[in-house]
Amino acid sequence: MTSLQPADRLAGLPRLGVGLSYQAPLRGFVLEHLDSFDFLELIPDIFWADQGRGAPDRYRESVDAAPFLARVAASKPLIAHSVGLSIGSGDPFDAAHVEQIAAWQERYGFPWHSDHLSFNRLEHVTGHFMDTGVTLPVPFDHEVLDLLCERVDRVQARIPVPFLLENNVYYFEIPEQDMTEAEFLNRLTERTGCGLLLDLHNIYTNARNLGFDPWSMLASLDLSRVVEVHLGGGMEVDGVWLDAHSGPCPEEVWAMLEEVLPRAPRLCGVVFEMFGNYYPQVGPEPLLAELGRARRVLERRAA
Amino acid sequence: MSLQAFQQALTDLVMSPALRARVAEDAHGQLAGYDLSEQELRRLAALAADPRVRTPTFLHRAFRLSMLANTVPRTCKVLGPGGIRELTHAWWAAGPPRTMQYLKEAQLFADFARGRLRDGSFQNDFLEEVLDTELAMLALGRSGLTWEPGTRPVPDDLAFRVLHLHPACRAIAWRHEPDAVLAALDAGRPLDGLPSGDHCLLLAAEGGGRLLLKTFRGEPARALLAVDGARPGGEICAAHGVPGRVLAELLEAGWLGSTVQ
Repeated sequence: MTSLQPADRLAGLPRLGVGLSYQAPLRGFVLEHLDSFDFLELIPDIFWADQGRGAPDRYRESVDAAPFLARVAASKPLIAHSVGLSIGSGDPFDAAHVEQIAAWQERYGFPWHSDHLSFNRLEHVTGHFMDTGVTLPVPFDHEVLDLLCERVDRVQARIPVPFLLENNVYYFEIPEQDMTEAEFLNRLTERTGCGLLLDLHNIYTNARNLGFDPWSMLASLDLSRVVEVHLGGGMEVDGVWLDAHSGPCPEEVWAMLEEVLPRAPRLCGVVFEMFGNYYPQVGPEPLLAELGRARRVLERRAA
Repeated sequence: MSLQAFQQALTDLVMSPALRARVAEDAHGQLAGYDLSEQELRRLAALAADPRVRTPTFLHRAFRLSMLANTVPRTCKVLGPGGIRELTHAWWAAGPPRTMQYLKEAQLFADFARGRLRDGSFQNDFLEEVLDTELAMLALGRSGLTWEPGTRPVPDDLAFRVLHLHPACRAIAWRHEPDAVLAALDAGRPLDGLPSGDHCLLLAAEGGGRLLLKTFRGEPARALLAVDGARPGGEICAAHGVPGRVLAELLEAGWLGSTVQ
């Protein structure tokens, strides 16, 4: 066990409210509908071209990132939700990625930042690094928990704001795991003091496809570590519910949010996610509707 | 490290239905190249037989395909469904994705496609010129460089000066009429029967993500495609049968620049 019981790293975070997950096709929406959200969550990795581990000048930032982000940051807080750490990878820890996130945290003042509890990058047997583009699950084993705790400690030692990990969406279960997902998440947050980014649509998707009870999982989770909630929608393809971020939240996900709110005293933000590719088809109305509904749920709870 | 080997094998299973089928039959034999524990072998053997692994395969392939569809959409139209299937399956079998960067994936795909065209294992008359054009569009759009119209002075010693394209310009060789091909692709019309002939499509970044496309034929086209940033004007004229006045006109318009040797 590498981690000591930490002080409450999550104390005193700002209650930001309702956030929108940024995608490039949403740029126009963001600038035209600034009042529809309280903060913007961005995937910082889409604003740079990562040349890969060990490459000189590894992170080449897009030339138009800074003006756009500065414009939004002038009126709304920004939050980083990276896909680049691949914290569950069996490869060596990617300290350079943490340095890049640290630089952006300093530049944009993210009050917290997050990544995914999964792996998507690793060295392939052919010898070059690869990125699957899909966040694959790690086994919920003691050995993996130890590895993750050590890595979360390293992230938290370098970046001076809270770090959250997001529960993953997965379409198959690794057999013979030491723990349930809820046990694994509880131990990880307890040992490291990191926060939980609770993606309710991921739980909904996993439960629907793998046949478990999402309410039972929620009941088993320590929701006191939840700092942020993700909402999103999906679609069914060939009998499988996909975490496609393709439209409105299922009603069950809204019900799950209602269940979570009273048990999540550190919750600071609820973010709606929609892939930008769908935006040209559906237009701004569904986004405005989901953001408005999330705001009403939060306001009702606050009252 | 065992976790690393397990993840390498799991990733390969996700990416390859063919490997899954083989592992389901003979896990020990097929996974012998990975440094796995007995438990990891059991896990992977079970996953190889689990139909639910098809979903991340679908998502992985959709992700890789989306990188191309978003970066080189006209290339995808040129290929058509059959060509995309043939070329992307060969591309995917050649190796896993190295990057989530769309432009880099498109560039790697372009290298692969050019190789297949060169060795004759894939044929498409329009692929290379459309692919090169789309990659140039992407590179210029992200370059932050700007070409501005206007008249430039032409030095007297052009024959002795090394010529180069304006940094915000790219010259692409075409064997068909670029405007006709691009218009047909954008309108969803077939490309059969479009006129062939040597052309040069010049792309210029005008700032703000805008691009100017201008088609050249004959001597100006040969001159633009010959300029390489290494040879002086006189050498280009002699080697490519281009009169000096053509180079002067291209310099005056700002498509070319020159430096003293």
